[in-house]
Amino acid sequence: MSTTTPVRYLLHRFARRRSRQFVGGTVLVLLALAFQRVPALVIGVALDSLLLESQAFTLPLVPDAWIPTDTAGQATLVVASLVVAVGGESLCRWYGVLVYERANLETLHDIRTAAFETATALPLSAHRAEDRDLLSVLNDDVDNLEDLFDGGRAAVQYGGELVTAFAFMLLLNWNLAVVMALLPIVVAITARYYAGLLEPRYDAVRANVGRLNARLRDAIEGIRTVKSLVREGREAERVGHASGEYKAAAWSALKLRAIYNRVSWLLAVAGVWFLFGVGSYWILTGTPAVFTQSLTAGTLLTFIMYTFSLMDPTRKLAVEVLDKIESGQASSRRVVPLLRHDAAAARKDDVPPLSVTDGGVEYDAVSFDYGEGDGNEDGDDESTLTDVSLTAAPGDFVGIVGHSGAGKSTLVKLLLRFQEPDAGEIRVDGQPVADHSVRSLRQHVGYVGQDPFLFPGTVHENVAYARPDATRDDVVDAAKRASAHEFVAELPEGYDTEVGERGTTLSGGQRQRLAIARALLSDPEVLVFDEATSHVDTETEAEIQRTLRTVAADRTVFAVAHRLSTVRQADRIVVLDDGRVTERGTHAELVEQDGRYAGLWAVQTGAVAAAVETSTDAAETEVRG
Amino acid sequence: MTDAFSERADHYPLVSLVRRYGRADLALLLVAMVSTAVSIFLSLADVYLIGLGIDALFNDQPFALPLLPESLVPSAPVDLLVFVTGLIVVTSLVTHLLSFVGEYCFGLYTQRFLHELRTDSFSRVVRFDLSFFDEHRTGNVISALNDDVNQLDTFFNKLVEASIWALTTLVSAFVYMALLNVQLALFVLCSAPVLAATNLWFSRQVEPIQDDIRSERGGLNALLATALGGLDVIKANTAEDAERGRITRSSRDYTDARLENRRLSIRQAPLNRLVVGVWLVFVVAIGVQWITVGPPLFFSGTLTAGELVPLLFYLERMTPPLKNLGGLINGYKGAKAAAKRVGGLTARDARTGGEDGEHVTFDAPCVEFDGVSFTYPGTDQRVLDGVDLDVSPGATVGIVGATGAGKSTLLDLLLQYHDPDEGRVRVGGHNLEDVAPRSLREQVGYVDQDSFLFDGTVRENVAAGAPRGEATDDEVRAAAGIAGAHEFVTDLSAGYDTELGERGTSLSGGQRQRLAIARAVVGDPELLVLDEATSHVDTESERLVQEHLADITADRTTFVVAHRLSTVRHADEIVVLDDGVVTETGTHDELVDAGGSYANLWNVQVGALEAAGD
Repeated sequence: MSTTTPVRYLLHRFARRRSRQFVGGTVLVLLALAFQRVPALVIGVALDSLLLESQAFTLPLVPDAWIPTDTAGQATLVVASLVVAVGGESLCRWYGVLVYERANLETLHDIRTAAFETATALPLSAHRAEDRDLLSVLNDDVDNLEDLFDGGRAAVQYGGELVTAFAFMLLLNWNLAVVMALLPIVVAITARYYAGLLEPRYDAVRANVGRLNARLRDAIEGIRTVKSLVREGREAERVGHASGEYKAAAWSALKLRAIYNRVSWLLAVAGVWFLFGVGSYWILTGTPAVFTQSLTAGTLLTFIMYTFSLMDPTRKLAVEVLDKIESGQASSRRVVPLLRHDAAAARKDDVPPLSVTDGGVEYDAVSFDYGEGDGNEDGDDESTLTDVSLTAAPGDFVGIVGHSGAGKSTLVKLLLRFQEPDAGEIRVDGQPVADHSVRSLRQHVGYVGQDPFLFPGTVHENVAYARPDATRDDVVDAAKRASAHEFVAELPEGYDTEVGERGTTLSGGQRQRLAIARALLSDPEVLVFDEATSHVDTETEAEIQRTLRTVAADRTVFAVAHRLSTVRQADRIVVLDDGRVTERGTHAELVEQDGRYAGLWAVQTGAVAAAVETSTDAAETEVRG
Repeated sequence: MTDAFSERADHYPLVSLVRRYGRADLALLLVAMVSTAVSIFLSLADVYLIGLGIDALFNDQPFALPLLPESLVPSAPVDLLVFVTGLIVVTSLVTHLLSFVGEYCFGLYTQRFLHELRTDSFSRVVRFDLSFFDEHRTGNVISALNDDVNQLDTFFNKLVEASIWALTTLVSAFVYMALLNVQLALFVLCSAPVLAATNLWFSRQVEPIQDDIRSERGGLNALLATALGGLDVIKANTAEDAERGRITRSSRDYTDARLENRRLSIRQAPLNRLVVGVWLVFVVAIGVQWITVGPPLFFSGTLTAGELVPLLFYLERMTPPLKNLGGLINGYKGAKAAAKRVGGLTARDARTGGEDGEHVTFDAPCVEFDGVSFTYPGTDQRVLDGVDLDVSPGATVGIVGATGAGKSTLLDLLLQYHDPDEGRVRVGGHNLEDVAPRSLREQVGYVDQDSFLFDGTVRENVAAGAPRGEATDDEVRAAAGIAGAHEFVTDLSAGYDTELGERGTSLSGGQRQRLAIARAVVGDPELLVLDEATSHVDTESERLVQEHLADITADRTTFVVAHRLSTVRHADEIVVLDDGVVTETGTHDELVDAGGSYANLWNVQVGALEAAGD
């Protein structure tokens, strides 16, 4: 499956359906190039035959019979050819680029939507490793693929310019053309050499600019700390230092550029001098020994014009175009692996739906591991589970506690099938969830994540997220059950108030209650609540606790808790440690047992400080040792 | 958006920046501009010389060059050829030499100028009073120091040179044409307004679409970020299809905006070509007629082939600068706006205090708040309202209260980040109005909510709290020990030399907090101010901090703003703030017994909801 290169994969899957536009556009652009070459040629001919009268009037590729014999007719022909050439070039270039660009942008659109579709279809576990990158793949890399198409077109265009110029030069005087072919080769070699020298310098500039910006941001964002430490001078010094390094790096790149510009233009100019010298000698004293053709002043002029026009495309081809294609290739290497997930991500909707009436949940010897090399070391709450069994009777309130990294979030995510267990089975109302459709499962299990995520849109839209056609009454009802109605009613536009990034800012507690309302809209039999890790003030905490208990009255609730007060009233509390259930029971039972839970509880109530004396001594010995 | 800064700028922000910074290097700028202009003028000479050569060789015209004595010009064809070639060689060499000098001087000037601008504006801003940072969003300040300065970089590096290039090319091309044939040159010049108008019209058409593209792109990015950020919510609500629809629509709008832009902008090159082409055709027609038959229409005098051909070249060379006119104008506008913001940011005379006032020394000082009120400038709500507080030397005070009750503001006044509107704050008996902030802050250890750490090693971060940022290894280790940080630091890959910050190891919230505490105590301050982290700190860190708190607060006066009541349970005195007013004071046990708002909060925290409820 992955035998084709990323670029070829993209071309095959997305560009092929527009191959006519791509090819058509390219051909037109090339045609424009051919037209572009005509004026120089015609002017050369005119110079020779009309102005200097040194030669009969002939045009390459045009039979002599078609050419008028009188001067006026010939002059008209010159002007007419110029008109045709200019008009033809303009028209071909405009339409060719238009067709090509449209195909290009449409292809990018297709790739973007296909990539997003794949991204949403992937299981959440696949996002874990790439999460931070995924956005930049969808955002930057897809856009950056444009470089591939742009580069391709530019390569054709500049390559075409070179080839057509040469074709004309060959037609006129192949002797001289062969000699002049050396010039672009030399230019291309020096350009590549330059690009190689420049790259590390640009890397250094980028790195330095990043460091400098980080320093600036650092000092301004931490301004309170800076001032409390009376460190303004030190920070200014550090920024000065970073700025100095950036200056040096930028200067090094600039110097190189200045030198290269001279070298490459000297090359071009040397080419023209050489041409002018050799050509003039050729014309004045006759064909030199190594050559077989004669040369006219008009031909020489045309050659000089062409030589000038060869330099730019050659340099661009060697530096810009190659870089663009390389950058596009790099992006395609990041986009294509995502797109190739496609087949694996095909969703199985042909399994029967789950029917839930009571909301009883069983975990039966469930184990889970994030697979090889995926790395568990980032220590967030997504860790492995080993042999976890637990039963929640319909209507139970189950609290899950433990250290960060103990597997609390993983446990509830398995219930929603954000991930699939490696071993064991999860059953809802006695039905194994793995045998039923994901869609139906999630309709019966509501989910409130750690980060109470709100979409940009109104309060109503956010609560009605799962069922956009829900009525206002449904939404208000859900909000009331989530204790959100009161504060929503006080917002400037009530349920039509914009929230999310650009909208009204809500407090953490308000966001959380809206997220609960969203989960309650479809009245799920089971609710999963993953408590926010960030601080909410004590009053909000109290309100959420109250809300949760109201909500829990008529459904099964799984609550992952960071603050033990949240689960103090739970029907049962499960303590996880390193993916295993170590303790279970009610709050009172667990405090009684004096195990890990009791320890956590002591910290939370500030009771540990009693032990201060002894542990301070320990710390001091440690430092001395 | 950052226009708050611009009002204070002058009318010619770019000019005034150039006058303020890099004055020592102005000569460089001058040399750069002159040599660039001269080199561009000379670079256009080759075609002219070739034209003269053609005429002299093939049309038997005299080789006459302005400023060149006729006696120097040889008459034999081969000698003349060598002479012309030599002349071209010489001008080319001079051109490139001057152009190199220009580029070199430009680069050097720009880099020095920007370095000076950047370091100077930063060191001014960082000394501004904290009220400045309350007034302006940090994001805007950073963007002025960062993005705007970088935009000026582009301006000096590219735009100035490009403007000189455009201007000189146009003028020189015309001068050469006039030297060749004034009448035809004037005829060609007629094309310039047409070309300029066409291109300006284009950039005006394209500009609003570019804004569209930017906003569509912003919208798409935001949607993608939201969708990926809320993926669990999307999946939990089986809303994948709806999201996909949204993204597809947004991507379609973005694609359409770009297509519209492309559709317009790709007309530019062909249209230029067409205008120039029309003139080219006319000039060729006129020229051929003129040379072969005689001057047509209103033209008079003679024209040679050696004059006509270079003229055609110059005609072509006038297009590129005209094509870029719109871009140049836009670039200039952008740079002006950036210069306005940067200039406005640093031109203000914000209070930069620190040194003014008495230098005093404290020894576990008593702290008194005496009828202190404070209102943030530009608002009319009192954050603190008549706060009285009397803290005895060496005591530990816990400050609790809901979000927005004024807890952090109280600390701000204590650290002299702001001055009270009414009442006074006394530390060790000194009224803070008379004390130099610098002298106070040097004796205060401060731990902020975010546990802000600097880019640098663990050692550097801890040592930053010592006077002049210098602390011995032992002092750093001892401080880390007191803060309960020593253990995890030794477990880090490079121990105390581990790099922290953006590029370094990332620490958990609790670890950062413990390092911030170590930094606060390393200088053995007499007054310690601790603003507890609002973000989740794992239980292990919470336990460690609690265990070490008694040791940390021993022998010094300590203020602790607490969000978790467990932190202040053992404080000598707890102050409850509500809406800027002190409502309760006492020890934990006293307050719990009193059954007031503190007792309620405590019940919430221990999950005894019944009491908290109604």
